[in-house]
Amino acid sequence: MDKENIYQEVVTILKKYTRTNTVWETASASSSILSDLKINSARLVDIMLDLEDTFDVEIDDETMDGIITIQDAVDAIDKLKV
Amino acid sequence: MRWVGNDVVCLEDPANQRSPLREGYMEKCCTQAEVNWVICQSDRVAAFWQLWAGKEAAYKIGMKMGEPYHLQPKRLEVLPASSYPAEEGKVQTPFGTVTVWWMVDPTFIHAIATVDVDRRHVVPVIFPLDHSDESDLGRERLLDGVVRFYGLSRPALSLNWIDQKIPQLCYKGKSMDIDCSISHDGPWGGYVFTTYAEGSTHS
Repeated sequence: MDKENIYQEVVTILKKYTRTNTVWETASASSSILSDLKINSARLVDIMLDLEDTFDVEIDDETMDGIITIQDAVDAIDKLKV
Repeated sequence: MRWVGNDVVCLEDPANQRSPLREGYMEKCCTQAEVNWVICQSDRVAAFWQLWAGKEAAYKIGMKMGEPYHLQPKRLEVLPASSYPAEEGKVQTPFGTVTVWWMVDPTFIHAIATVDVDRRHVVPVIFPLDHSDESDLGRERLLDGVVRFYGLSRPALSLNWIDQKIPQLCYKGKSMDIDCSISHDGPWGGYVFTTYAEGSTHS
């Protein structure tokens, strides 16, 4: 799976947790999952579990702590899939 | 400096009811000691949110003390002093030990964290949130509360945000020696602010 496909899958997961679609009008790869997409911080744990299930990877604490933006999530998955 | 942080969790939110029951959820964000505490409580979901609210409230203090603007939940270990619903506890953090206490209701939990502030010198308030103004989310309620408590002129009081993360009360354009924090979740909003204590200064 290439990074573009990972990106699309990550966005699909994130869209489950955004309260409004308007945040996606200005979203980009560098958007912060919490600040820019306005996702509740408690949902970040749900997102990690969804990423693990979708990509069949295990996200450790250090990797989870480093996921701030959409691109961070894509890069982390890309690295774990190798 | 005296610091406060707060966090509100709506216990009736369906997502909040579901998430802690997901396999692996608690292990992702709680230390083993925290997991052990939660599984011993009669209401595990509410007990988990008591811990989470304590982490978030302490995290807000951490940001004010120079910690990263990114919650790393396992680095903040909440140690309630008793079973759920615990009234108070401690949070062990990379920036020191934070005191936390909770206002617990069947529908919400309001956690209030403090550093170098006696509980008597903190005003905590929880209120039904008016979602008609999404940009407000309790800001006006905080300002009204501070005005009432200190007898200030409302037009001269403002709330600025440092890096869009840290609230700072200002009076007549100058920063005040009053720390504050705002939180909201679903239909509930909450705020806290410090009151003058002996030895404090006021700009």
